[in-house]
Amino acid sequence: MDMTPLTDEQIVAFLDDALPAEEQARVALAAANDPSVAKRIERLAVDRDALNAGFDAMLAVAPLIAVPDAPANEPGQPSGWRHWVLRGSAAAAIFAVGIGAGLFLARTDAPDDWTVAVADYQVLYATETLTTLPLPDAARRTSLARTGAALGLELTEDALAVSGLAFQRAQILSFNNAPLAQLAFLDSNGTPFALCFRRIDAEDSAPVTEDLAGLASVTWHQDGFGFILIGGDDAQAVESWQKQFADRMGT
Amino acid sequence: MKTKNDRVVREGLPDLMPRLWRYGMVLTRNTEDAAELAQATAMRALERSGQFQPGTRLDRWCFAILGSIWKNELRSRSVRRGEGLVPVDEAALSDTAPHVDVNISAREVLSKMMELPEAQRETMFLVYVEGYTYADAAERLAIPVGTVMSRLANGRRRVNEQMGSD
Repeated sequence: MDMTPLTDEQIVAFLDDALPAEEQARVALAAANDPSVAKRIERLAVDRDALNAGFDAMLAVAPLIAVPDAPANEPGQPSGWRHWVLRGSAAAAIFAVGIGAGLFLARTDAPDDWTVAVADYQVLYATETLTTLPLPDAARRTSLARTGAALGLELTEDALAVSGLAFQRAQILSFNNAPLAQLAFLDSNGTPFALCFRRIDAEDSAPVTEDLAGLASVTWHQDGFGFILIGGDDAQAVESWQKQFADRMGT
Repeated sequence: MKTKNDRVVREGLPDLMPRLWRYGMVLTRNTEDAAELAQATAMRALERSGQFQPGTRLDRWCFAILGSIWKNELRSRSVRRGEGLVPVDEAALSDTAPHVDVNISAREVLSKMMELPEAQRETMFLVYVEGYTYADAAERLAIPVGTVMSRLANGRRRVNEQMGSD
């Protein structure tokens, strides 16, 4: 009998009836006998009937969208969505139905994939992650300079000197095949924090505070970079540090 | 073959438009962008009707086109605009959508799912709403099956973490 530990992915496949019969039975047995498995199932279980009811209702409020009369490869007619403009009654129908569609959405923003990835990684950090092998000053400075260079941003320790956070090291991670900088800090309690950033094709945006993976975080866009400052559970502290970092980046 | 395919695609599109819009809503979270995406998809589907294999699933073929337009054309524009939806209070809703009866738990789980990061949101939509198998979803999204399963696990976990937290 297979005794390897169950992954969440296997539990999800079990819930989705997507496992081969033998494995399906194995997970069912584990669920019946092991309270920790039952607990994990609870954390992963989603009411799919409710979900489908919600999405079915969305079809009921779908606007009337005209199928184009002719393919856009007629002479003189430009192709592609860029040239398509919603006119007249179609636009009016969409506006009216937009209110119905708003029924389903409580917030305006979903977190970006990359910030969720950063959070999922940061949640693994403990004080010891950064104190077990502390970098000598020169190496710390080098890590910062090289990380900055990889992102095309000149970084100095002075720029990062924010009261209450001690810079530990910088490293270069990768997201979607492009460099992602991680600057690691510890506060006076030994709580780990990270300031991460990557190049992003977007306008500057106001800071957004949110809980990601159980950590307090603030994300924002500035000068062609996306930033996230994350760590601990004190949103106000993170917001205050964010303002200081944002000011320093802007000079 | 082109004229026959064109007819098959043209005849199939009207029934598909609400689902194209709905998929567009999952990706863009914006009514106008979803409508624009649905129309762009329909136009592209007609342009490429010669490539469609009659007898195969038109909906899946169109969803692949929609996904491609979003990823390669519309997405960066939407990020630059930083758009979002404005929540509307319930009094305004009852006049415009009187026949739509959605109970609280359906509304809540839908709302939490729509707040997920795009990768998890889209994957859960394809598998749990549009009925894609893990393998079909992997092909549609050009990712490994393992990544599909991770996204589903992460999405489910996050929906549960967020439930009841407003």
